[in-house]
Amino acid sequence: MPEDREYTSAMQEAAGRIRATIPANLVELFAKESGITAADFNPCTPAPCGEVCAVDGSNVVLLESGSMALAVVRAAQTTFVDMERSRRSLTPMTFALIGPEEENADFPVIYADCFGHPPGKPLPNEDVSRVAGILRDTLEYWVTETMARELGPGALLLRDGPLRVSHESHNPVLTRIALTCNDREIGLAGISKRSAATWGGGHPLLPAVFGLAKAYAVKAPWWIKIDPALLDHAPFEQWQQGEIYVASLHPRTKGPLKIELPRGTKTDAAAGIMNRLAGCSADGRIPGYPYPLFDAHRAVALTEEIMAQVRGDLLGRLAEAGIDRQTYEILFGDYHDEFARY
Amino acid sequence: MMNLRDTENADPSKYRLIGRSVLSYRFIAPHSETLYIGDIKKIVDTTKGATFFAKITDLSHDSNFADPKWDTRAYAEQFYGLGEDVFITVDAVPLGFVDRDGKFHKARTLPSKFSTVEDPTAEDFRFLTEQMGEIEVGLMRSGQDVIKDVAVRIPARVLPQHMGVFATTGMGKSNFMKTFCASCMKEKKFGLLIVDPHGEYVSGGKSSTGEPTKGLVHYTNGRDGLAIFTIRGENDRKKYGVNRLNLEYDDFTISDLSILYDLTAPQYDIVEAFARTPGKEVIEFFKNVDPEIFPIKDPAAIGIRERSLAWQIRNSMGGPVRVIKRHIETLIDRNAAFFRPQGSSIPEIIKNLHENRVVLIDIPDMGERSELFVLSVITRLIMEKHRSEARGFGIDERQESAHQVLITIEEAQRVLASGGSSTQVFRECAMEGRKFGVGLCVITQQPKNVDPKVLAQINTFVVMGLGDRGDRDIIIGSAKQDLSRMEIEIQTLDRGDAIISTIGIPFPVSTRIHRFEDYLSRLNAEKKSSVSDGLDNSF
Repeated sequence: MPEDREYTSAMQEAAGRIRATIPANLVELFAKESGITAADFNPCTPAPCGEVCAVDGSNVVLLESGSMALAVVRAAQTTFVDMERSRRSLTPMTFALIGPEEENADFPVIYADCFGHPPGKPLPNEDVSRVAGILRDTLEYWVTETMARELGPGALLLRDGPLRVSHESHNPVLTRIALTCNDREIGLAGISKRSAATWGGGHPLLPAVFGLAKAYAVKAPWWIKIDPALLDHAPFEQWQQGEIYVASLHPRTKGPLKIELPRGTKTDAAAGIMNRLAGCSADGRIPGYPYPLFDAHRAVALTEEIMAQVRGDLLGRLAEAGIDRQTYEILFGDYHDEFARY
Repeated sequence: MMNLRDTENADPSKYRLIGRSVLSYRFIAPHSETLYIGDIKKIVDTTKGATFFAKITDLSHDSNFADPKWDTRAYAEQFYGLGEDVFITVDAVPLGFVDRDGKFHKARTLPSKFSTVEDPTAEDFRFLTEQMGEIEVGLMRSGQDVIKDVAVRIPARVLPQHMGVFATTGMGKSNFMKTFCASCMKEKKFGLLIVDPHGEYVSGGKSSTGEPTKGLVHYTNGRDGLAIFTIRGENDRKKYGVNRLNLEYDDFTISDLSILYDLTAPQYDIVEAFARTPGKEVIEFFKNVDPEIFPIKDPAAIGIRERSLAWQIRNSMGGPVRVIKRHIETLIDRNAAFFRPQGSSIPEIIKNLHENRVVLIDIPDMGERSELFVLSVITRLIMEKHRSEARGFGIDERQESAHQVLITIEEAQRVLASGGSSTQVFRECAMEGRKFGVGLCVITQQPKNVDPKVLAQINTFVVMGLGDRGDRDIIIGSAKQDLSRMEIEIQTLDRGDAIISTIGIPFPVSTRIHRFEDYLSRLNAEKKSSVSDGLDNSF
């Protein structure tokens, strides 16, 4: 195959730009800029988990035409007591049309369905995947708030994602959740597998912290609190309800997690939460990731099989509503499916 | 209002039928469950109102995970909630089903999808108990356990249609045979002949694992069903009340030599020439003959009469005559304990067999050739007797009137190997004995060395553990019921366990053979049947 210089050069440029954010001396740079020493890494002692509840959500764009899309969203919680699952529950599968109006018509309905009143701000139908994500978040926050009220005192409530909202209307909900957890002595943590947090003008946080721990020969499990002053500016700071920690919860973990705990969490309380998280993160399939979150993900995931079933059911309803196959294909047919056949 | 719907925490996915066809069932069980190959399960189909039965033939670890190598990629030892998605896939072979009316059928239909899989009880096997025969040998086994109250009894009517006992050393073959004999003594449904060259059947001895064992004489309640012919001394004969074994020269025919020795073609020519000559004449001839006179160019010149025995083999060379003479002398010499010019126990032996007794020929320390000699002589004479009886019956009355005899051949590959025309008597017995009510009980460790044509005649298979794949294959291929799905079970049979496949019982039954000594205690404790039992006491 003859060499394609343009292709090679584009590839090299992309790789070079990524490399620029993670330079060879990333760890040295981070050590210098952060001033973090080995002593700043706190060892974890895996502890019995007690009652742990994990909440996760799932969204899929089922149909998409030029003017509108149909999203399916749902959320789930799964509760474990000493790592034996005691309860797992799901919200109903909820359908939301994104477009053709400028503002999402289903958002206020779903929001009111969850919280008893309309959202403070409308949701513009600008970006289909963002809208679907916010609709999913709405259900997730409702489940999280419900569980914050129902769990026993001393439980641990885990959310898949940060303690920072993506839509203003969710901010009062997250505030209520944090307050309820505080009042009921429930530990709250937002756990992210990936993080947008950067330092030093665009260097990703997680590989830098993980590399530094390695350089100091800190043995996992460990955790460390991150000084927000170290981070580059984050958008919508006012919606941030948590403080950032980075933790490596198992010696065989694939990578560290960004964990957010509510503002003002004391060090002892943070250590207690981290120890319990380490205590439920030893599963051989995903060491270093809290198993209840994995279970919640598996419960809620809208898999290909589920979506195929839903798509089939919907086709039937559309036919009953008088939309014939040809109209359906014109609206939602994907030429890529046709292309893929050849 | 938004709501949360709890999913059920119970796991309904286990122990319900998920596959696959009429001939192959599948379900899953918790990964930590203890299941065994050979376990029998019942599948309750409430939709069809039928109970299906199936035997586990294979167990394998399986999971719902998309990554088939999830277990080899595991990064730590601990797993949470593993039982939901990691399980044992259980393959089972259907045995048949019982319909709403309690009638058993072969598995010609499928249980409904998701029918529950349960452990059967003895009550579930009532249909089987009703179909079992008379000759009890053990208890039905399900995996590692036995199902109490479900005794395995081989139907007596199928036994003269030949039976095979296949087991390697130490798998409990002798124990099975003694248990089988005891049941035959009790039931007296047919005559059973056993030649015992090791003296273990009469009064016991030591098992292959060195444990002391008892013998058939210890079955005191069933003593009437046993006749023993022995070469032991008078003291022993009196002690156990047994008969002296005698074979007379006329019981012998020269063709018996071909079973005992490998004969060359010239030697075989001599055997052929004297095939119809009474044994006594043959023996006397070879005692006195001088092999050096052969070949005889001019018989009259040395006083040999025309048609005399010497005249019949006048063209033979001296060598073959010398060898035959030596074989006959050795035969007489080695078997002097029971082989003599006159006086034979054979009529008495056959009489006892026809009175449906177990006839034990006890020739301790006599060696393999003596065992084969006795066995071939008696087998031939039984066959002759039955043939002549059959000729005397009318077409319709033959089945009802004929005596049924089962002849046991230990290490049967010695006389029933492929292509051995020298062992004609046993071959005849295998091929056409059933027509005359003579069956063979073929016992061997090496079924692959037995002529497949002989194995094809066998209707009852008792398989007691065969390590050799070739042996298993030949058994699986020869059995009248499908044993192919039970190969793993055959391979993993424990000592004392057997799979019994017979045309009288609807499916191959895994059996824990009774320990003879325990069975004996039970039989001896049973009330002996009185002569008046079964008679009508009313007026």
